[in-house]
Amino acid sequence: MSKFFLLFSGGLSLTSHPTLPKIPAASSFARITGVAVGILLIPFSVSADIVYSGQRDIAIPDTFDGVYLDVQDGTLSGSEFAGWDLNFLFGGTGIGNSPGLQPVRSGTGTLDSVVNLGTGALVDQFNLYASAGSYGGSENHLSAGGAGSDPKQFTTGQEGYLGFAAIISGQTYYGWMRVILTNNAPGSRILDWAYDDTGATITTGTTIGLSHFTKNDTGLTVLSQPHTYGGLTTVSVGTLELTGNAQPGVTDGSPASGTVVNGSGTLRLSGVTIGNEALTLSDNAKLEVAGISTWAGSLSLGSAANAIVDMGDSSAETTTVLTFGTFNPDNTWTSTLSVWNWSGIPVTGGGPDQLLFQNNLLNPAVLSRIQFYSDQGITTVGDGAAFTASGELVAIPETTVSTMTAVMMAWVFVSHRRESRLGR
Amino acid sequence: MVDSIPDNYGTYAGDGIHDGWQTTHFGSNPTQGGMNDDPDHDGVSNFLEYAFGMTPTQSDAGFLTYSGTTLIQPGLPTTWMQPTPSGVDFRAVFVRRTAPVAPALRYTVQFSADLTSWQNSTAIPDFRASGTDVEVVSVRYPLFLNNGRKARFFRVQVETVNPAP
Repeated sequence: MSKFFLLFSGGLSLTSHPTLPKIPAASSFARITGVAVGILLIPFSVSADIVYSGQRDIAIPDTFDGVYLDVQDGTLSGSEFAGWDLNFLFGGTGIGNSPGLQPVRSGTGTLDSVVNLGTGALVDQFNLYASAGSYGGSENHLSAGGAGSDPKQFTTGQEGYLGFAAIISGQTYYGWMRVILTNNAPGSRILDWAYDDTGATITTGTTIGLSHFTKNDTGLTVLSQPHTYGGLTTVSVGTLELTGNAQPGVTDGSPASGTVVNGSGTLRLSGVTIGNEALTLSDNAKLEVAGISTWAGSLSLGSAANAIVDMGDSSAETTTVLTFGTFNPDNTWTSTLSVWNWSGIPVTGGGPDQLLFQNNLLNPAVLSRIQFYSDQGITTVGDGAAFTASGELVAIPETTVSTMTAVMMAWVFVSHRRESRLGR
Repeated sequence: MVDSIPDNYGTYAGDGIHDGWQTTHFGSNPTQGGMNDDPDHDGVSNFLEYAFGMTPTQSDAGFLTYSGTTLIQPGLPTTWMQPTPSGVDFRAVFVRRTAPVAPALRYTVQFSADLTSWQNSTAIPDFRASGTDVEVVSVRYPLFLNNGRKARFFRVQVETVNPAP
C-alpha cells in the first residue's frame, strides 16, 4: 500500500496579510491603580488595578492569518509571535486563543463557541472556560441577527463583548474585550479591552472594579459613561476628559471618593454634570472647561498649589459656565489660582464665561491671589477677585493711579484741616 | 500488452496507477513511467499526477481551477472561501479520479497546526465540478483542530486500495 502526500498552507490561496504596526507597549494604556490612601475614602476593603487598552479600533483583516494580539501589552502582528493571546481571522469569523488566555465559552471544550456577554456582565470564575493551558478556537459564534438568533452569539457587524481569563505569571486576571465581528466583511474591529490585574472580577463595558483610576499616560483619555469604580480618580499625566454621562466615581447619593489633578495633569470638563465629590487641584494642575458643566462637590486647592482654570479659547467665544458646589482652598493656601481665557464681565459678572460657586469660604486674602487673564496667563484682567451676590467669581478692576491720587489728596486735605483746628 | 486487469502490466504492475494511463503517457517500455518518477520535473510524482488528473509529461504543478461545475484545469489542491450569513464557508478543494474505477484510490484530507501531527477530515467530500475521468470535490476546512490549535496546513493523502498482486 502506498501513501503520498501533498502539503498546503491553509492560507495558500488567500491574499497576503498586511503587516500590522506594533503599538507602543504600556505607554498608551490608561492604568487604573489602587492606592492605599483611597481605601480610607471608600467602603471597600480591597483595592484593584484595572489595565485599560484605551480606544484602539484595530481592524481585523479578512484573511486566514488575521491579527494576533497580546492583551497585556497591546502588541499586534499578522502572524504568531511569542506571547500572543488572541487571534481574530476572517473578520472575526474565527477566534483563536493561546494557553495564556481563555475566553468565556458556551462550554468547557476547547472548540466551544466564544459567547457574547453583552455589556454589564460579570466576568469571573463562574463563567465557562476551557481548561487553562490549552489552545482553543471558535468559529460558530456569529449569527446573521434577526429573530431566533442565539442571544449569546455575536451578530455580524454589531458591537459585542467577550470575556476572558488571562493567565499572567501564573495568576488569573479577568477581563473583557469589545469587538465588532463580521463574516469576513469590512468593518470588523477590536475596539478596546480591559482587565483587572489583581484577580478581581470585572464587568464588561466598564473600567470598573473595587478600584481607583489613575491616568499615568500622556495624551487624551475620554470617559463618556458612568463608571462604578469607587476609589480616587487621579490625573497624574496627560488629559482626562469627562464628557457625556461620565461620572468619575460612584454616585450612590453619598460623596464619592474624589478627583485629584496633579502637576502634569489636565482635567477637562466638557458639558458634564458631576456628582458630589471633591476636586483637588495640586500645584501646576490644570482644569479646562468647555460648554456648561456642573461639579456638585467642592473645588479644593492644595496649600502650595498654583493651579489654572482654563475657560477656553476666547477668540471663538461661546458660553462657558462651570458651577461648583463650594470653593474650599486649604486654609494655609498662599499660592495663586489663574483663570485663563476669561471673557467674563468684571465686578457684575454674567458674561460669556462664568465660574460659579454655590457656597464659598474664601476670605479677602485668598481672593487677592486669584487672577483673571484674557489669554493664557499673559494679559491680566483686573486685579484679584470677588464674589457677586449670585456666587460668580469675577475679576475686580485694578486700582488706578487717578483714584489713588484722589485718595491721597483727600487724606492730605483732611490732615491739613485737622492740623489747622489744632492750631499747628 | 495491457489487458483487462488494470494494474498488472510489467514494470507498471501493482503501483496503483492504471496501466492504460501509464502506457498512454510513457509507452509500453518506459524509463520514467514509475509511480515515483517525475519526468516533467514539476515536483509532482507520476502517482499524484494520476491521482489529481494532471499530465505527467507537462510541468503543470499549479492549483486546480474550475468554474461553476466545470473543471477548467486539473491541478494541485487549494482552498476556497465564501462568506455566509453567519461566518465563512472555508473549504479544502481537490481533484479526485472517477475513472477508471480500478485500481481504486482513497483520498484523505488532513489538517495540522505544526506539520507534525495531523488530523483527518471526517467529512464526506461534496461535489463541486467535473472533468474528464476526474471530479472536483471539497471538504470543510476547520479553522481550528480538535486540540484547539489553528489548522494552518492541510494535505491530501492518496492511497491505493487493494492493489493488484
